[in-house]
Amino acid sequence: MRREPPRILERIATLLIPPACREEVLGDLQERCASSWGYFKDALFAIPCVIASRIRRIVDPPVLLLHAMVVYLSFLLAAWIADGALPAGEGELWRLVIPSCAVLAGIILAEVYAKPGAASRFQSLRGPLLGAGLAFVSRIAVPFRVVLYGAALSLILVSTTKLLFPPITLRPQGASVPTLRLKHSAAQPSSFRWLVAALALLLLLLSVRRS
Amino acid sequence: MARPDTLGQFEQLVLTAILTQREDAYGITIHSKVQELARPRKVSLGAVYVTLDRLEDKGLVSSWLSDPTPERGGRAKRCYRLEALGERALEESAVTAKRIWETIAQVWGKDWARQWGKQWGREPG
Repeated sequence: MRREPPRILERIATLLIPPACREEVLGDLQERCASSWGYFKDALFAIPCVIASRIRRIVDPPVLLLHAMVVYLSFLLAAWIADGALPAGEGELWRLVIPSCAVLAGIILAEVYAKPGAASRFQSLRGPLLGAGLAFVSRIAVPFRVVLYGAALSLILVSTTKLLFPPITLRPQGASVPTLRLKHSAAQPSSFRWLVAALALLLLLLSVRRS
Repeated sequence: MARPDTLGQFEQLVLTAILTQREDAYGITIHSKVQELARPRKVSLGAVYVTLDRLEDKGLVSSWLSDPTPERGGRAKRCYRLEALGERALEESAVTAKRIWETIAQVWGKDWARQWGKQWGREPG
C-alpha cells in the first residue's frame, strides 16, 4: 500500500538531493513509499549515490587539480604574509592541506547544488565564497590570520580561474549531445591552457619554497 | 558511427530493463526490472541512478522529464530511452554472452547444458 512520506524526512531529502535531479528522485522515493521506515531506507541508500553521481558528472579533473594548486598556493602565501616567513616544517606544510581541502569541498558543493539554468553573474563567486567560509572551520589546525588571508586570496584566485575555465554546467551545450562528450570536447581546446597554468603555478610554488 | 564502450554487467542489466520497459522506463520501473533480472542479488535504487547517469553520459541512453503525476506528489518522472549506440552496445553484449554460453556448453558437455537449461526453466518469475 502506498503512503505519504513523512514530512520531515521529505524536507531533509529535498535539502540533500542536488537540484538538477531533485524532481525525479523525490518523485521516485514518494512513489515507492510504503512506510516511513521504507522511505528512510530508500533515501539513505539513494541520496549518497545521487550526490556522488552528480559530483562525477560536474567535476572536470584537470580544472579541479588547477583549483587545488591555486588554493594551496593561496594558503602558503597567506602563511608567508602572516608569519613573515614560509612554513619550514613538513608538518606545517601538511597542516595547510586542511583549509585547502575545506575550500575545495566548498567549490565542489556549490557546483553540485547549483540550480540548473539559473546562471547568474555571481555564479563563479559562489563556490569560492562557500569554500572560503568552510575554511574557517579549519582554524583549529591553522592560525586564524592564515585562514583569513588564505581564504581571501583563494577567493580572488579561484574566481579568476573560474572565469577562464567555467564549470561544465555553465558551458554552452547542445540539445542531444551526451554530457561526457561535451566534457571531453570542452576540455580539448583548454587542455593546453590548463597545462600551462598548472606548470606556471608549480614553478611559482617551487621558487617561493626555495627562496 | 562511434564504437560503443564495453558494457559492465550492471550496465547490461539497466539497458535491458530500459529496452523492456519501452515508453515507461523511469527510475522505479527500471529498478524493479533490474532487480528481477539480477535475482537473487539485491539492487539499490541509488546504484540504478548512478548507472543511468553514466549511460547517459556515454550517449547510450537519453532522458526527458515527463508530465507531473499526483501519485508522485505532483513531480515529474525522468524517462529513458535507448539510443542507437546503446542498442548496438546491448546487441554486442548479448552476442558475447551467447558465445560464452556456447563455449561453456561445449566444454562441460551437452548433459550439463540440458540440466542447466531445465533448472533455468524452473526458476520462478
